[in-house]
Amino acid sequence: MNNIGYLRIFFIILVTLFFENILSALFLKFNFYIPFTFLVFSYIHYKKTNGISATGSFFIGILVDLISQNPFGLNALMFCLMALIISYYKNIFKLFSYFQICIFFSLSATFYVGFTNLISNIGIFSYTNLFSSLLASFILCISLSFINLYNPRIKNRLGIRD
Amino acid sequence: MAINTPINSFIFGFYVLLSSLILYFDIAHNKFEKVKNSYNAVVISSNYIIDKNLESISFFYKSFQNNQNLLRENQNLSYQLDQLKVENFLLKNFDMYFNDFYKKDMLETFSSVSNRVYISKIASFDTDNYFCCTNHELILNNFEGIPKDLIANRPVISKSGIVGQAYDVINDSIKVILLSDARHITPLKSGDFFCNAKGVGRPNLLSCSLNTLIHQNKLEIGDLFYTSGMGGVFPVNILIGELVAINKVDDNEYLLEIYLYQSVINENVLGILIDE
Repeated sequence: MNNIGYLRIFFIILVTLFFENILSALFLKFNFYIPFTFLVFSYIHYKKTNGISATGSFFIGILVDLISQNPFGLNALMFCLMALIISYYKNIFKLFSYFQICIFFSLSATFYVGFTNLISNIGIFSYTNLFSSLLASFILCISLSFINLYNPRIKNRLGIRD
Repeated sequence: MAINTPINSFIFGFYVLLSSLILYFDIAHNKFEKVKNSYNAVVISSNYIIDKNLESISFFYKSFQNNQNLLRENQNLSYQLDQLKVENFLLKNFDMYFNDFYKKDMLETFSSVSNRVYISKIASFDTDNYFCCTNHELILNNFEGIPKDLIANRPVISKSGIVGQAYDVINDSIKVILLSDARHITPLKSGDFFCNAKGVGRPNLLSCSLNTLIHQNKLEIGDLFYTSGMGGVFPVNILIGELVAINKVDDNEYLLEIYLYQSVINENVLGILIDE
């Protein structure tokens, strides 16, 4: 994960997008939404030694916009912003606990959901949805960090290194 | 205290600004409609082409499977046809191939009287006539072409005993008159009593007349009757049946009803005893 290439990143993002499309229909029945693509992009950027460049974030975002039929620039903007924040606070994150990082990622995901709803789906924007999305994202992040901590074999099998 | 990572904020700022502008132009003026439409057109075309190709491959696969099924069905039909041919052949040549099997059973009963039995299938048997009327006849196959002088007037047997008498041969058919036919007479005996039993014309029944002035011996219901061998056709001492009724005709005349043990109604293969 430290030195992952852009082609591989794009492939991972595509696969995640595909699964997100499948799962989102299911999640919407329970009034929440987890932006897997955004979280995966953030995680890759967080784990990559030099991070994803601004140009890379922009083009990946544009491609995700194109494929997911979102307004052009929405994901590009969010990915660039996230890349900027993570890059800026990369050293500070090293002082954070897993719990704090989980809160950061889940808050970012909630911001993404809220912003996306405001831009493209204003009709379904609600604070209940946002709150449930925050909760779901936090549970997902904390579960993944537990797996990371307590079952490193899975991590190794997936080829993820600290 | 950790310090913030030094990054080129200008580039990030530039892309954030660019993304915001693109977003604004897309939402407010639909400037990227053509790009989206082109992308959709490419996706739809690709799906169409892939579907078409998959359809062709699927059609090819289905055709291949259909061919396989047809071949399998053809093989099954060929196999069934072969079986039918074999069955047909066996049916046609039944006498030749199954002779020994039935002969073994029949010769166990008739081993003392004859060592040659000609086995034949029943070709025709009018059961309506058998149950209603007095003429009890059937026709046996004569595929081996046994000459009339060997068969005529010879006893016809089933696995359990004598059932009738062959009386004529016409081409591939042997005509047989059954013991219960009203025109047929069978010489019988029971102890010291001898009589010529006539067929009654009803299934499995013969009748004998008993004159008490001639025969002093007393017969009882259940007495067994055997062939007496007096007619020169049937071998002696073959169990035929038992006495089931004694009907008084007049003071000295009685009519005995004898029930035949052997029935042809459940048989489809009979034998003809032939002396060598």
